[in-house]
Amino acid sequence: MKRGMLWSFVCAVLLVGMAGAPAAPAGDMELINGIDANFPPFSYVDKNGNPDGFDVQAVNWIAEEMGFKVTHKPIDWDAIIPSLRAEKIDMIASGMSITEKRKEQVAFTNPYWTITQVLVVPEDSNLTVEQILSDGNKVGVQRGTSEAKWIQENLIKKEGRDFELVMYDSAPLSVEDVVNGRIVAAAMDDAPAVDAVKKKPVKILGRFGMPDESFGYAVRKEDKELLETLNEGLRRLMASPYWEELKSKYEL
Amino acid sequence: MPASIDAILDALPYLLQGSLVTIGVVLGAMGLGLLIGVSLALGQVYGPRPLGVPIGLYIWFFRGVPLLVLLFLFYFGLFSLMGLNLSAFAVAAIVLGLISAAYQSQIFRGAILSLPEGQLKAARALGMSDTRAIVSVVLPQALRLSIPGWSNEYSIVLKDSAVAYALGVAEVMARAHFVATRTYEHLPLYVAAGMIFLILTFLGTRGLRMLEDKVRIPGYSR
Amino acid sequence: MSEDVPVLRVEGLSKRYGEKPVLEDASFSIREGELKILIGPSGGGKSTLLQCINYLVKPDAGRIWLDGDEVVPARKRELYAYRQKVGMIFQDFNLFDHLTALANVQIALSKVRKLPRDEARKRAVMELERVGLKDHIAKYPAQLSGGQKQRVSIARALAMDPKVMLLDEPTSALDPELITEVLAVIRDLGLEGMTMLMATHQIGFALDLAHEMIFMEDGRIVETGPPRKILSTADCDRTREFCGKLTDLYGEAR
Ligand SMILES: Nc1ncnc2c1ncn2[C@@H]1O[C@H](COP(=O)(O)OP(=O)(O)OP(=O)(O)O)[C@@H](O)[C@H]1O
Ligand SMILES: [Mg+2]
Repeated sequence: MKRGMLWSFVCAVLLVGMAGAPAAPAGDMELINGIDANFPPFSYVDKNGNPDGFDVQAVNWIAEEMGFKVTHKPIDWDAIIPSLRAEKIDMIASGMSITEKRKEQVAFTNPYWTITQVLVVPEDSNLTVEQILSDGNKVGVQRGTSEAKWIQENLIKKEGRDFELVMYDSAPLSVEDVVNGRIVAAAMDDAPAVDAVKKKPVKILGRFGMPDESFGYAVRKEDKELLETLNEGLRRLMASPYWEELKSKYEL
Repeated sequence: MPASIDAILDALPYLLQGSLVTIGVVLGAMGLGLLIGVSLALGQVYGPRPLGVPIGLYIWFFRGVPLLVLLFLFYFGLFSLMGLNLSAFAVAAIVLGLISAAYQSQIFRGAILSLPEGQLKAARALGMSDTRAIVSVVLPQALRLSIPGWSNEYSIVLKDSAVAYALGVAEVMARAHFVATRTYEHLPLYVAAGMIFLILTFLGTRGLRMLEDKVRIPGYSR
Repeated sequence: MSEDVPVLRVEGLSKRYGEKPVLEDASFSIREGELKILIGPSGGGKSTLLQCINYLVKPDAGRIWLDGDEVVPARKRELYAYRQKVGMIFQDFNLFDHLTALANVQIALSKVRKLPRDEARKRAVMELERVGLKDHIAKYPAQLSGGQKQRVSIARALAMDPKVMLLDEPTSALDPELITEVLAVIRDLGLEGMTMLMATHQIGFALDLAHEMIFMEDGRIVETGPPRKILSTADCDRTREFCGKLTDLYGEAR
C-alpha cells in the first residue's frame, strides 16, 4: 500500500517534469507558421490531422524555393497576433486581411489575394441585404476578424443600423446557426462562403458594403529579412504555374 | 444520422490522439497541483504565521483570475519575460497546475486539520523532528483522506483543459473543432468530444476509487 | 553516574493559558527506578505538567535536567534527543492510525534512531512480545482493543530505550476489564526498574507500587509523600477528601 502512494507520487513528478521540458527551440531557418485551422480552404487540418490548405501549400512551396524549413501550427485566431509578437510563431500565413490596425502591430508582405466580404443566408431566404441589416435581426460573424470590426464600426456605430452582431469562434459555426435559423445571415470572406455553400443548404446573398480586402503574410516588424524572403517567394510563386494549380486544387 | 456516425468514426483516431494530449495536460497539472498544493497546505497549517499572507494571496489570485486570462498571462507574458520559451502544452499544464494547487491546497488543509492532534504529539514525543513527523505520520494519512476531493478536482481540471486550445494545444476539443469546420459536422463531433471527456472522467474517478480502496487502512469502514 | 543525581529533575515549571495559570512553579525530581504517581482533580494540571516535561507543551518558565544535564529546548537536535529518552504514554493511545502495530513500534527506530531495517524490525517484534502482543503485530490500530492499543503504545515508547517514562492516565480511556492487562504491563516495568511518572486514579495500583505520590490541584503541587501517608494522614484536608472519594470509586484493590 505504501508503494502505491509512492508510485503515484513518482508518476506525478515524472509527468510534471515532462510537461515542464521546454519545446525544442526553433532552429535558425526552421520557421513556425501559425494558422487558423478553422479557415478552409486557406488553412485547416486534414483527415489525418496534418495542416493543409491553400496558404499552407503556398508557404511550403515558398519555403522550398527560398531554402528554409517550415512547420504549421494551429493557433486560436484570437491569440495569433500575440503569439507572433511573443515569438511563439514566426509568421502568419492564414488568410489574414491587411488592415491599418494590424499594421501597427505586425508587418505584412505584399498582398497575394483579394477577398470580398459577403453575406451567407439560408437557401430559401428571400431577404435583401437592406432587410437583413435592419429590423433588429441577428447577423453572425467570426470573432476577431476584420469584417467583425468593420461592421461594428461602420454599419452599427456610424450608420446606426438596427441589427445585432453575434460573435462566433469560426465562420463555419456561424453558418451552422444560419441553417438553424438562430441568425438570419452570416458575414464572411467569399472563399469560406463558397465552401459553406458546397456543404450546407445556404447561398451567398452578396456583398454588404465592406470594401474589398487583401490577404498578406504577417511577420514581426523587426524581421525585415524574413519579410523580404517571403515577398520574393510570393513573387516567384505567383509567377509560376503552381499558383494556378493551387487555386484550382482548393477551388478558389 | 448515418452520415454523422460516419463523420465520428472518420475523425475518431484523430480525436483519440487528442485525448492523449488532454491526458498529458491533466496529469501534468494534477501532479504539479499536488506538489504545490501539499506545500501550500503544510505552509498554512504548520508554517509561521507571516507565511499565511503570501499563501492566502496565491490562493486568492489563482482562484480569482479566469483561466483564459491566466493562460495568456503566463504564455505571452510571464514565461516570455523570463526568457523561457515553453511550449503551449507545458504552459497549459503548468497554469492548470498552479490553479489546481490553489484548490488542492484546501483539500489537503482540510484533511490535515481533520487528523487528531495526538498524531503529531505522539510523533514528536518519539523524538521526530516536525519535518519527519509530517512526512511519516501526517501526510500518509492526510493524502488518503484527500483522494475523494482529489477525484472531484480531477474532473474539473479535465474539463478546464479544453481551454488550452486557446494557446494552440491540439487537445480533444480543438481537434473536434478543426474537423467540424472542415466537414461541417459540428454536432456529431462535439458529441464525440463530449463522450471522450465522459470516458476520461469515468476512467479517472474509477482509478482514484480503486486507489482509495487499495490504500484504505484496514479496520476503518468506508 | 553517581547515586545522588536524579534521572529527571524539574524546577519551577510554569504554564499559563491567557490569564489563567494552569501550572505554577512545579518542582520535583525522580531517582532511578522510582515510580511516582500524579493525582489530583480533573483540570488540576497533570496533563499539562507531563507534556511540559518533554516540551510537547511549551512551558513559560522552568528548567529541566535529565541525568544531571540541563535540557535546552531551543536547540532542536538536543530537544529531539531528549524526547527519545523520555517515553510518553497518552490517555488515548495516539497510535499512528495508518500503521500496523509492528510499524508503529518500528517507525521511530528506523526514522529517528536510524537502525537498519532488519534490526529495527527485530527490536520492534521483541518489544511487542514483551507487552504480550506477539500475535497481533500485523494488525492496525482500528483492529485492536483499547487495552491492546495502549500496550502497543507502551512498546513503542520502550523501543526508544527511555530513561524515564511519563504516563498520562494510561487506563482511563479503557473499559474496566481491559485496565488490568495494561496495569500488569506497567507493573512489570516498574519491577524491572523503569523510572516512571504516572498520572492515574488507580489508587490500589498506587498503593502497591508507588514510591511517592504527588497531589496536584489548580496547577500547584499541593502535597508530596509516600502513598499510604497521603491517603490516610495527609496534612491537607483537600488531599484527604479527594483521595477518599477515589478510594470509594476505585477501591483499594487493584
Ligand atoms: N490548550 C489549552 N488551552 C487553554 N486551556 C487549556 C489548554 N490545555 C489545558 N487547558 C486548561 O488547563 C487546565 C489544566 O488542564 P490539564 O489537562 O493539565 O488537567 P488534568 O489535571 O490533566 O485534568 P484531567 O484529569 O481531566 O486530565 C484545565 O483547566 C484546562 O482547561
Ligand atoms: Mg489530563
